[in-house]
Amino acid sequence: MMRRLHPEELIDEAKSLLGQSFGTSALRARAAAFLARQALEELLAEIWRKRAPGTENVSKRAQLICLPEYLRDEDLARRVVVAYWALSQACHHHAYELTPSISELRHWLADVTALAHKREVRGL
Amino acid sequence: MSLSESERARRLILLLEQALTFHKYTGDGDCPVCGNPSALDAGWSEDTADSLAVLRRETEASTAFHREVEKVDARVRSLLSVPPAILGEVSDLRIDTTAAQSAWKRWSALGEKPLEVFAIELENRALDLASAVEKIQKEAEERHQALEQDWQAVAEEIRAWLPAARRVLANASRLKLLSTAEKRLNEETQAIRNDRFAPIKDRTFRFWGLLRANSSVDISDLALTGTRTRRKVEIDVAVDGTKAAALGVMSQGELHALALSLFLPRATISDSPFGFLFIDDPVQAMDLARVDGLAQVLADVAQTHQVVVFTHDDRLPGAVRRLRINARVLAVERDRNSVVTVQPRLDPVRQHLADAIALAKTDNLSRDVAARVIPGLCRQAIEAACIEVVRRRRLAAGEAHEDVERLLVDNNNLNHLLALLLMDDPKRVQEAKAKLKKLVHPRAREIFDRCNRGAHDGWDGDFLDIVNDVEMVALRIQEM
Repeated sequence: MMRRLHPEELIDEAKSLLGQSFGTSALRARAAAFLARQALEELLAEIWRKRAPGTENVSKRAQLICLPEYLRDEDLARRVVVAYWALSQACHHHAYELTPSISELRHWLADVTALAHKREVRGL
Repeated sequence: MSLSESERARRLILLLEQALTFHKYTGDGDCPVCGNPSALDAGWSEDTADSLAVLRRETEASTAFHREVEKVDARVRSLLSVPPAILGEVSDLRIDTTAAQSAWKRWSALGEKPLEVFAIELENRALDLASAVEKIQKEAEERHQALEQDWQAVAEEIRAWLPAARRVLANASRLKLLSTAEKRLNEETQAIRNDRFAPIKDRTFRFWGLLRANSSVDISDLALTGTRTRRKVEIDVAVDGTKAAALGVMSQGELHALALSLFLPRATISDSPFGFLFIDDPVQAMDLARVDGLAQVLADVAQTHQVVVFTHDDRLPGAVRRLRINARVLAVERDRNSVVTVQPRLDPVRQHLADAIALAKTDNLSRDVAARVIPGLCRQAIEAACIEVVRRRRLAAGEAHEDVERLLVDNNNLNHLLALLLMDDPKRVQEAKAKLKKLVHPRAREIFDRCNRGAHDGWDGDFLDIVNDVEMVALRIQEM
């Protein structure tokens, strides 16, 4: 079985991918997008397990609608929602969407990192 | 001696002559007229002959005088003309002739007067008339000089103008010839221009036909107008059959399409020295149907020219692939420090697979990371293959672009996508998977499921083997 990675580890791996030199920047951006989305999903699951058990199993859309109530940070909640949809776009094949750029990825990763820093919400 | 006196003298002379003749024949005697006794004698005869001679001299002088008077009178009366008509004419010389006219009338009225009055008045009236005429003569002279001066300036201009005017007159026939030649030349120029414009016009109509998509705007005519430096293209446009001004009624996308319809034929005219064409982002504001038209138009132009298109919109490469247009798609990527890389852009399915293989072969990539990323790329490859085939089939069957795109967005889950592809029904997932196994490969269903799951859960095993399996499935789907 694959070793489970903590959100922080996923975020670090994603950030380090962006700074490496293999492949193309587009490939590294896409790879980082996968890791960032997994980190975000892990964080959400963590929050729900501590704050509202069971919520981790409802649709992502429903989870994102509920998030501001628990996060108590309107601005961050909004940024997390945007980042989640953007990362999901990058992780699915979508018609006529271009690969996100490295700088877009850094931006969304910063939002995921900010969510990870809300340790009290995560119950840490 | 007055007239009556001279008449009396004449009669007296006749009487005395007869008395003398009488005396000569009868001799001395009494006077036969008054009876005076012995009045006629030699003495009487002598005295009477003397008196007669005196009388005759006087009478002759008087007759001569009277004849002279008559002659003079006739001459003077002949001068008594009526006022000349010109005095009565109204002229723009603004000379007052009333005094002269009345003096002249008084002068001519003298003719009716008897000689005595005539002789007395003649001089006065003549002097009056002379001074009145002299006065208007002087005025006329002044007017004449003033007019002469005015005329002089004009005359000089006319004199200067005259040689040129004479040349023009002399060359009039040549001018006519030249004018005709110029007119013909313009007509020929216009005809040549129209001839040269005709193929451009035809291609413009054809390109608009491809680019108009669902536009209700019709181009009814296209004409070059204007002359010399003020030339323009006139575009007759009809919206839903009603004539309208093009710019006012067309959307941004339609205007882009119209601009391209006009620009491309012009830029690729056969005598242009340029064998290539650069177009920056022609896809702007175009909907999907129009992008298809654009791809076809560019393919048409590419028959004769190298066409290089820059765009950040992936729909054009998409249309190029779907319409099987022979084009080379390059991806330009900007990395840190503006390091730009240019690489061939594969179709999405092969791009995802190539990315997955590149990651699988990256030695220093942690296995934890690879296990989380590679499955996602594999799933994207299969997604891309499904989407490509669904889109291609449905568009070929005549479905509208926007309907197909909505269907794809509504079924973005890979299972539903597969069911849509194989069963034409997103809900029949299990049947679709069974069909996949039958159509593609005995292990196809297993590979598909692992891909679908693994993207979320991570993956074990040799990545390269798994990617090869996925490649086989994805490429088979793409060929459906």
